[in-house]
Amino acid sequence: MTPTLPPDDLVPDCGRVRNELAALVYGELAPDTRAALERHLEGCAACSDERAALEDTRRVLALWQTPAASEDPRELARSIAAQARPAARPAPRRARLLRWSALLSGAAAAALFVLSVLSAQVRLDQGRFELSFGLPGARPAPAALVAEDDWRDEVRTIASQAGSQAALQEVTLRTASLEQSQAESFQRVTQMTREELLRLAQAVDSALAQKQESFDARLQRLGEEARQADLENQRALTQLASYLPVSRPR
Amino acid sequence: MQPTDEDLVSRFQGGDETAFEAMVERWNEPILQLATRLTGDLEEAKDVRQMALLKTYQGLDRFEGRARFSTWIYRVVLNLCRDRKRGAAVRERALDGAVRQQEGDYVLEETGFHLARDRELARIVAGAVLSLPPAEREVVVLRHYHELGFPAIAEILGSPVTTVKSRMTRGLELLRTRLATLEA
Repeated sequence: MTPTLPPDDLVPDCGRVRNELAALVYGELAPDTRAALERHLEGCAACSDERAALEDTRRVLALWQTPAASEDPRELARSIAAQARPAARPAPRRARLLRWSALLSGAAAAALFVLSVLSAQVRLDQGRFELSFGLPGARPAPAALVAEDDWRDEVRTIASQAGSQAALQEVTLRTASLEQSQAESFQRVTQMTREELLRLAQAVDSALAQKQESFDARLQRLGEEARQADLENQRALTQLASYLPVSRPR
Repeated sequence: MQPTDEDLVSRFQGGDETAFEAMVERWNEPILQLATRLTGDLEEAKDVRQMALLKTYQGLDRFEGRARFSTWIYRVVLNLCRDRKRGAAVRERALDGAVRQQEGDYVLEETGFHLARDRELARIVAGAVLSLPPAEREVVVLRHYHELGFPAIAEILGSPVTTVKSRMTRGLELLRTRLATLEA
């Protein structure tokens, strides 16, 4: 509500009424201001016609409907996140760690699947976990675990956070399989204490952060190359434009 | 009860990625509609939406809540559409008259409408709205199609409410003239 006319102004003049007609037509006047306007409109054919015309215009505007968004919003959100993440947002460290601990303590199988997707090798050496990442394996693996849908999405997020497109594709390809060595690791993880699981989570988190850093550096280099190419294109276009006749000012 | 935009921002800042999905679910449609009506081109509007959501994702960590989230996202979309408009004007200057006319038809064609029966009417209305001066067009679109009140629009545009109201009145008057034949 936007009261702009004083309530005691019983008969505002035409100029002031015209200024308020849009607010009147769109129902944005306080009751007393509206009443003052209505009183004026009852006795003023010109303002009354103006109001009727604006109301007609309002009705006609409704004819323009735009197409509804056809994309699945969740998919859209994930693609935006994947696009933004390498350049801008490594998730807060604490949040990543919490997510990993939730995965590990809630479903050790899920964690192992993540490691499988990232082709990570876990070694337990004198009470310390070590992680290494290799290229996604080409060997077909024996079916061992089937990923559940709810954390498959989480895996996608983490995989994209790790910055590996290949890893992301592997999520689809390898949901039902683990390599033998990882099956052994799985056995080991299921027997871990909570403290051990948290240490594993930290190790994974740290390894992912390193992977992210190297990916960011690579991305920056590619970005610089693209900017250079763009500059060269612009120079070529400017040169091309100089061959064209000058357009008349409009 | 549905979480507010600000609740979702806060969850996202705490590391909850699903909060961003909820925000996209809520804002996908309004952003696309606004961008379509301001640019007159569905594909341009999709680009604007992509960039607006990307800016949102990248900017949410720094969002401090000094303005409401809705105000912030509308501002982002308006600014992106204004930038696009400048780009289109530059391109347009490079074309001769005949191509510009064809491009005008093409723009309206691309905007798209639901009802085939009212297609011609919708084209005329769309053409009239798109031909408004930018300041009037923004206010008319935000008020009429997004049902935002004048005070909210004033906050988005950083203008006084009286200015917003006079732009709305002027916009409606221009539309009235251009659409007079349809109102009969």
